[in-house]
This record gives sequence, C-alpha cells and structure tokens, in this order.
Amino acid sequence: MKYIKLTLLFLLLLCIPLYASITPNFGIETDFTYIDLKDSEFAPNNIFSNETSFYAGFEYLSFNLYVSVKPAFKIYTTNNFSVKFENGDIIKNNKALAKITFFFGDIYFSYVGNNFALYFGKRIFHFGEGFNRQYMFIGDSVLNDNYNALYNAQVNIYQGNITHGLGLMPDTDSIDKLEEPLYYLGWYSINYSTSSLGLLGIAEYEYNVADNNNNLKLGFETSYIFNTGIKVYGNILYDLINQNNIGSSTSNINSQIGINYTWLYDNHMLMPVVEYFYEDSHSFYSIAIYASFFDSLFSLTASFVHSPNYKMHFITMATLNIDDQFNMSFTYNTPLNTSDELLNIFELSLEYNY
Amino acid sequence: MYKIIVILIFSFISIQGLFSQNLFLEFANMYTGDNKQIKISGSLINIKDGVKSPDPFEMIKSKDYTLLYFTAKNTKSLFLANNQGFFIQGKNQKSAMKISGNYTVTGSANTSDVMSFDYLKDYEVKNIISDDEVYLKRIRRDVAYNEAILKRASFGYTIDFLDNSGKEVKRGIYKIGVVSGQKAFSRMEFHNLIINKNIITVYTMTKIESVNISISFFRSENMGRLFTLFED
Repeated sequence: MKYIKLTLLFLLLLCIPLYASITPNFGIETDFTYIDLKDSEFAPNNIFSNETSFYAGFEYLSFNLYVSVKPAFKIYTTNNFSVKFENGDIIKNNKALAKITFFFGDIYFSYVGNNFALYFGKRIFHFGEGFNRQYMFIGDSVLNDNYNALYNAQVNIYQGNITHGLGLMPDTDSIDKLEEPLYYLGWYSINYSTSSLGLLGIAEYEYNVADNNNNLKLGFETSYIFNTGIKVYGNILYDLINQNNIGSSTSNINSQIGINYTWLYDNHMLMPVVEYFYEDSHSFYSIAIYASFFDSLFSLTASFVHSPNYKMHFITMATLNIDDQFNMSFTYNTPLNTSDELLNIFELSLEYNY
Repeated sequence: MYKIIVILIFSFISIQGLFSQNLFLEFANMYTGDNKQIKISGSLINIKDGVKSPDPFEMIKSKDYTLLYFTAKNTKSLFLANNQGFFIQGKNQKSAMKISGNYTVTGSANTSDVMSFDYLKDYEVKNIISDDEVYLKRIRRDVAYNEAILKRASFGYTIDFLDNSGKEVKRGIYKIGVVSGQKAFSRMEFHNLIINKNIITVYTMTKIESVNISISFFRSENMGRLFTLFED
C-alpha cells in the first residue's frame, strides 16, 4: 500500500513542473445497471445500482511526452439485499446503500523515443485479436474495444517489423479502492507484423498475493489479412503453471479462431465476425456484427454466443458520441437458454467531458 | 562493321532500358519525396456523376511511413501505412485496427493509392515497353495490385493498375506541380475502370511544411496520440 501511495505521489510530483502548458479538463460519468433475476426466496428479484464519478484534471502534451492526471470521486449506490427469518416467515429487505470513494480516472505519462516507448500509470491499452474474447490480452476479456483503464508500466522496443513489449501490472480494482493489490502480473511479448501477416508471442507471469501462488501462461497468435479485406486469426493461451501446479490437462487451454470482414461504404462501417472458441474444456461459437452509422456518431454491436451444452447469450451495445464531449452507451445482455438465475442485464452509461 | 552495329544496337537497348528504369525511379522518388519528414495539407475530392464533394486532409510522410488524418462528414480518422502494414483508428476507438491495402479511404481511393510510402519496395520493372512506358510487377503478394503500367505524360505520369487476371481496374493520374516551393505530385486522380466508374477521387495538395516527430509515433499502438497534432 505504501508503494502505491508513493507511486501516485511520484506521478503527481512529476506533473507539477508541467503546469505552465497544461490543458485543464473535467468530466462527469454516470452508469446505471439493472440486473433482472429469477424469483427466489433467498435472493433479490433485481439489483439496481448506480456509479457516478466526477473528475477535474489536466493533460500535458508535447511531441514526445504526454501526461494525463484525472483525480476523481465516485459515488456508488445500490439496493443492499438481506434476508431475515421472523416467526417462521422469510422477510426480504432491500435497503439503499451508498459509498463514496476516491480514485484516479486517469493518471499516466508516456514518452515516445526514436526506438522505444515508455508508458506508466493508469491507461487504456490493448493487444491481440478477438472480438468476443481476447485471450492474448493481459486485462479482462471484453466485447469489442470496450476496454478499461489499467494501472501498468510498459516499455516497447522497436526493431523494424518487430515490437518487444515488457510490462508490469498490479490489480487495478484494488488500487482504485485504495487497497493492497491482490495480484501482480508481468509479461514479455514479441510481435512481428507485415502488411498481411501478424505474429504475437507472449509469456505472462502472475503472482497472487492472497493465495501466495504463482501462475505462468504462454500464448501464441497468428493473423493474416487478404487483399480482399478478409482477416483470419487464431490464438492459443496455455496455463503452463496454474496455482503452483504445472498444468497438463486440456482445461488449461483457451483458444480461438476467427474471421472478419471490414466493409466501408460512404463512411459507414460494417464488420461481421465469426469466432469459434475452446475454453475450460468446452467449445462454443459467436456470431457478431459491428456497425457504425451516421459518420461514427452512432455505432451498434450485436453479438450472439452459443454452445449446445454451455450457454447462449445475446448482447447488444449501442453507443452515441457527440463532438467528442458527450458519450452515451446502452448495453443489453440476456442469456437466452440457461439455468442460471440471471434473466437480463441493462446498462446505461452517460458521460460528459470538457 | 557488323560488330559495331551489334554494339550500337546493344547500347541503344541498354540506354533505352536505363531510361525506362529511370522512369520508374523518377516516379517513385517523386511520389515518396526527398526522405524528409513533411506535413502535407490538401483535399480529397470525390466527383460522383459530376458532383464534387471535397473533404480536407492532413498527412505526415517520410520514406518509412505515411499518416493520413482525414475528416469526412464529421468522421475523424487516422490511417497509418508503415512496414508493419496499414492501420486505421477512429477518434472514438481505443485501439488501432489493421486493414488491407485495398481498404477504401474515400470514393475510388484506397489506402495503397494515397498512402504507399515507397513504390520501390512494392513494385519492380517487369517489361520495358518504351522510353516512356514500363510494365511493373508487384514484389510482394500483399501489394494491392498485381501489375501496373506506368506511362510518362506531358503533365507527369499515369498508371493503369491491373488485377490478378490482367484486367485494368484503376487508373491513377499524377500531375506534377510546385507546392510551398517544392516539386511534388500536387494533384492525383483515381478513376475506377470496372466498378463504380461514375466516381473519381482527386487528391490535391495545397501546402507542404517540415515537421520533426519521433518515428516511434508512426507505430500502430502510438498513432492514436497523433490526433492531437491535427486538432485545435
């Protein structure tokens, strides 16, 4: 914890000499989530929560150096569910719960040199292929381009068509709660790219603080873009060491193959994607479509995931962006065929930045 | 006497070959520029059935990469071409997406038409037809067009691009002019010859200036940062 505070303090101090040429900015973001559940005696019928955060920060940009600091307060409210037994009756109780926390929406700097780039702080980044799942990425797998900002330090070294990446990442959720990270992750990646071929190899090591165990994953990905615009890709991630055990079963493998086509007409983009996955000893497929209309102000993502003996999900996500200042996104997720308690999830996010 | 005639004929063919090789070198060097990092401002104009619709663009290029900032109908996009391929990143996208060289930037102009940074790495001379005409063949399979016929014209050059079956699919017209005191292709036209023949895309250059930006920005993971260079 001490090191986290010192690191955050170091980042703040680093920014002080830059105050003369900074761009101040502020913003507000509010996310509503409604989770609809099956009727049950011991669970709520629904969970409604809201997260609202305000930040006031600044950005500094020169040709090589970029610094962004956005300290923020977050107010979190939800209906807190509890069950009581009184005179043989079950009494369900929903009580509003509110919390205020301090966190950094954004705090990082990057320096781009002639043959290297250095990134440090909390930022959005990504590597690897995958529309519905991203196995090669060290962060959470999300639906298409919906990545969260993560604390990390990374150096990229450039050698012609090759990029070497070396990174370190603590558990961002814990730091946002000003708690000790539950895990630390380090990785080395090597990427080779030409105008048609892409190759990526990665080794990622994770140390789990709470359980005091070690994990090591090895991954490899290849992708190819044809002149027609069709892209095919495949990757495999293997848990070589899982909780101190050297893995040997197929449940230690996550793998996917995918094909997509990007079609652009008069500034409207349409991208159909078909992906086939192998995960946790079972396989499933996904059919998705990404469409961007009205000159990127509005985009729509629809994804259908199905496995005969696993699950069937339908997810739609609509986003609206006006003048790079106002963003709105609406996500609907429903498991179409499942024995889970979950029926529907609705998420609405509104964001204003200045 | 016989030997002299043979030597003269051989010399003539060699010199003609040299000139024709020079034709490709001249074109490639004019397209790439003088290896310095420059920023170009101009417009990409789509002419559909005779109706013009211009959109402004800005471009940073050198012998190793081309970065295009293009705003069409409020869409802000960065296109990057480097030795790792072609990439696109929209203003609202969080990471760059790799695309093919055939990707349409606008109208009848695709990424390789307006963003090829080194023709000498893409094509080689296959046949010399005359002093003013050479047949080019792509060096790598991932170059957008299989073959091309380069011709010298009074205003500059023309290229007919051919697909795998040998059909002419596009004509590029390259006009030489002086922009900001530099000789360059101040106007390029791209005419579809098979599909969408009613659309012509014209690239016009209005300003060239020197810039100095670290080469590492012209990698896909860093290109998103360059939006700020083109905005107020």
